[in-house]
Amino acid sequence: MNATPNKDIRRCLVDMVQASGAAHIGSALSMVEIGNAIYKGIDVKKIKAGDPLRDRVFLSKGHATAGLYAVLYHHGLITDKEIKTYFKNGTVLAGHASHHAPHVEHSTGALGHGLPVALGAAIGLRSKKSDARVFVITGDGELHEGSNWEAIMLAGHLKMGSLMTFVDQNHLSQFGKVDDCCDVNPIKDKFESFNWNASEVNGHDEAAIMGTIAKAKGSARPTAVVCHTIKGKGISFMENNNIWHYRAPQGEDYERAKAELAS
Amino acid sequence: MRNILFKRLPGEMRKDQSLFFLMGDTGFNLVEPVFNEFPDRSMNVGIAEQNLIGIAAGLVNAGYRPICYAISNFLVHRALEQTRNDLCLHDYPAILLGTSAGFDNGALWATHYAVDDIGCLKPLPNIQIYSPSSIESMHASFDEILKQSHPAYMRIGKSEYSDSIAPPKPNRFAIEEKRAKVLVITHGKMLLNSLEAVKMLSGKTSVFAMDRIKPLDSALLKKLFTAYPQIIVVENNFNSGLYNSLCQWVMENGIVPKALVSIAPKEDYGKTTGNVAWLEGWYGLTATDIAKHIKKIAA
Repeated sequence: MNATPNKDIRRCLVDMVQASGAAHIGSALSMVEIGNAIYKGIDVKKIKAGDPLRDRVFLSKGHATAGLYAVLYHHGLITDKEIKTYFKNGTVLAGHASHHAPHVEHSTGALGHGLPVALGAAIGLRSKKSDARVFVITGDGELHEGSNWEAIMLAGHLKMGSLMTFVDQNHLSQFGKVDDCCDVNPIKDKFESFNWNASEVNGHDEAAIMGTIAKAKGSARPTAVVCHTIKGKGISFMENNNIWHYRAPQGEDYERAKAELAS
Repeated sequence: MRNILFKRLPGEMRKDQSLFFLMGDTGFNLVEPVFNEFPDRSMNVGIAEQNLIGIAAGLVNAGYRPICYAISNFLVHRALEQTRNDLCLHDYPAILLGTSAGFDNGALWATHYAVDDIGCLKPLPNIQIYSPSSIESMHASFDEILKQSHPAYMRIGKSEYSDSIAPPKPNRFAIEEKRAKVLVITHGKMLLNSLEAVKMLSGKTSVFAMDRIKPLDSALLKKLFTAYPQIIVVENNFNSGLYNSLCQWVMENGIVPKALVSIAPKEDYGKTTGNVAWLEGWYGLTATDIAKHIKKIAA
């Protein structure tokens, strides 16, 4: 596993959030390896070309879009000029995932939308006899939304093997611990009971995540990967500290974050 | 009306390979021919309207044009955020076909009324809203929907009224009385009640069927509001529907009629139930009720 690119992505998103004053850096940091692994595992050239039969990635936890944009930038899908516009007036790199931003499949932000839309894309691609794959990144708190389970149930029923969902289980939602409010566990068992293949990985082990992507190719059932992650991962004072759901690093905090990511 | 539309669907799906039929577990003895002929382009997603609309958005992303069929109250209200974010925000040309408009579901009671659907959808950008008032205008509305590239909602009533006119586009006079001072503007099943009301009064009232509720045809409205000083809007939707749109249009355009009156159910789901005729009586939507209003306004 090469950790450097993920540090690059983290440095990029810390700069984005510092410059913009935007929220949600903790959620963006927790999904870096998941996003990077997915884009490493798919044909980015097809995405860049807008090929109708490209693989598709849906960020359902749209508030973590700084993470997605930083990953897209890292993979050459967002330019240097574009990435500097994040959250700025009159630009399209909004604070929740926007389909107006380059190569973002779908606008999200209201939670519980990504999975049904991704399932629709997978149904459409299967109907076109394409073997293109569809990936979704959800949060764990997001699984409180019932619409997810409508899609999960139907995807299992349809044996939608081209659909893969990564649950970024960082254990924190806006107000505190996800499971204090309404326990979402056992997530893996829940997916399995809905006729999915499911596994659990360290969500910051990019190689392990890539392994699940390779393994799921050609699967007869949809695949869920519960990624155990740390909200704020990579910056010690942000890790598991939910104040960073809201706050953007400035001044000393910013310098310290950059220093930690430089090492 | 829906039976006639569903007889047409297979032909449209043969012509346009991008059409994909989705339904929310409704349409027994109606939709089967579509499923039989197009197994790869049709799906019953189950009793899950949020998923229905999300899937529709995903199908557009994958190159299809979905037609989503469900009972209006579920299609519109249960999935409102999905329609807002997944369809309207993306300006995805999904077609929503909702049945059981107004009080069509009668004694099934308030959970199954569609009397607030227009008001719910109307504020959403990009969406087109149709409430066809006859078989012919339903075909014309569907033609128009198929030609455009925005999300669209068709509110299909249980009426099978045929006016034997084949209009080139939705929206037309059902009665155009040149010397009339009063114009009834209506849509959907309420056209029938309005026509009966005018019959009771032996003419002198024009009736216009506004099959397309959104977007409004501003040029047409200028003509109507200039020609008729007294206008009555009849609809089986709360007055958050067409009436509300017309009030806004009047203020924005400064063409203020002498009277602009709403005949619509009051904003109350009601405690009691009854069949369609009973409910229309209860809510003041019968031909007799409409005739009384016309008489009063014309006096």
